[in-house]
Amino acid sequence: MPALQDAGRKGHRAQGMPLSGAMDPDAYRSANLLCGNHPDAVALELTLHGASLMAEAEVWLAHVGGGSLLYINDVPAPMGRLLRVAPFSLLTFQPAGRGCRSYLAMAGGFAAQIDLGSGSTYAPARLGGVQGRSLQAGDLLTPAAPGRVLTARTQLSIPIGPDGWGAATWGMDVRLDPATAPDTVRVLAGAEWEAFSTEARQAFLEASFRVHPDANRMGYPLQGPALAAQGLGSMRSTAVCPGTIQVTPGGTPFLLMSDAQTVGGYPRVAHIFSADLPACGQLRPGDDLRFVLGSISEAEEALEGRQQWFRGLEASVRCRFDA
Amino acid sequence: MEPWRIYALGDRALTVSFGDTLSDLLSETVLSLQQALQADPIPGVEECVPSYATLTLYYDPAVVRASLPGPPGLSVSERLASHLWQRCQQPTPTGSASSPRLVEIPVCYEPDFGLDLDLVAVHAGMTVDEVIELHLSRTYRVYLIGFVPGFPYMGVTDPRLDIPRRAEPRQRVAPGSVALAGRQTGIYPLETPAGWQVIGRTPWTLFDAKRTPACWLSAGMEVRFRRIGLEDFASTSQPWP
Repeated sequence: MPALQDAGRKGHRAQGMPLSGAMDPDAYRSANLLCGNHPDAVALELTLHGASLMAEAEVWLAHVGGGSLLYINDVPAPMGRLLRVAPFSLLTFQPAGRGCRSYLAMAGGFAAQIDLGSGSTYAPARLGGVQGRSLQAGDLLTPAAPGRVLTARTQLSIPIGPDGWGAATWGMDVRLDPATAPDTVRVLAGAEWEAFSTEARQAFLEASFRVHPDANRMGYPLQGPALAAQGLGSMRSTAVCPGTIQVTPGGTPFLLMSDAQTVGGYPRVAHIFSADLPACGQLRPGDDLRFVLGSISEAEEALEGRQQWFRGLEASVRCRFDA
Repeated sequence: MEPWRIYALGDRALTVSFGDTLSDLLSETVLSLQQALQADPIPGVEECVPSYATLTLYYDPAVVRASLPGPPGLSVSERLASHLWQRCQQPTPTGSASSPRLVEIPVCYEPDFGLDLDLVAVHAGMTVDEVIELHLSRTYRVYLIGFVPGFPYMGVTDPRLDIPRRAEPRQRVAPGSVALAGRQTGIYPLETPAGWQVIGRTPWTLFDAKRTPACWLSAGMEVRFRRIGLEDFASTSQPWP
């Protein structure tokens, strides 16, 4: 179900609080930037399922990510563009061929219940979002703050077309669209990497793993060859985080995502590069995934590159809003 | 003493491991390092998460890169690990300056709440009352908060209460459910799936996002349980710090 998310509930992991937040932070932050918002403003996360929203006032929106295509008044609206939408327009999200999650950002951000400094929905503890839950029919979403778009409104003059909406002529470069589900991701060896047999390590790096239907915001069980770890039956619980791949006693790798628990007692075979983790938010059940081993320096370089790409997007968008 | 080691938990976290056993001394060491890092923080380190014998630091690589100089070619992770290693060599006060805070938690062991009491009794070869007595007989240390917000991993229980987790976890337990697994006891703060053996329930709240701190317990605290009857379940008032 669609739910409000932000950059996550940081700083409370010592209390057992999952990080939460958008599953594809790159798509989420991009959508916010395109609306003139702070990149960490509250946005709506849509997961495969369709949804329909009625705009009761004129709104400025951006839609970025996979899994859904946005139609406004039955006309397909472009992704990665600032959209100006007339009052009483109907927004519907239809299934897209690929990807899993998309983000609808609204100029000013969405108002959310803020718990422990974050508006991210974390349903098990009823935190954030709309009363700590995903959206239900009848919920009214309102802007948190007018935001930068007030400048934009005077500067941009996006005309509203005959279909009740208009799109900015500028936006994200489609080739750099972050919303593509990966077929290969880079990993670092986990703390228990050496505890896996040579065959298991080889299988992990050579086989293809399929995302299980039980995949959710906590993580994805991965179907593939069983990975046996030796002599780790009595491991004490220790920290795990989004991107950690732990292996259950049955040998199933489990990729931890945004709502993952803060500690775990299963051996950790690997960790996804932080730069490659946002795209993993676009994996849907049935997608196939391969792992390739990299070094810590490569991981840091890749993350730096990702951040540079984002700063570039931020700079190119900001000049549209600043007078 | 087990060897210390520092390992990367991906490219944005490092774990300092003091061992892999359940011991108050290791837990004290972990919390001492946490306190030392709170008193003299490393720029870029965003969170420290204690576990039984490990402390995990989450960091922003860009900030750490800027704040910790190091030879070119050395990764941020390696630079931070090396810095941490030096910090760990410095003498840290073992044992907190003040004795750990002790709290007493009321538990009702009525059959409606102690869903697995009979099973635990059979497993231990004793009566239900003896199981309850043994659970009440010790002061437990909170080693860490994890699994879900506010869940305390406490130990160690009497060896006779050592019992494996349920083969099939319950889909849901009531908040406040007090449970056993291995030599540990814990309390489910929220309505969640539960793999531990439930022996009672406390009326008190362990996690409340509207309060500061949101967790009633924290790592390093000590807990005793006090038996209450069903009639007292609604009337015990909780001292929130």
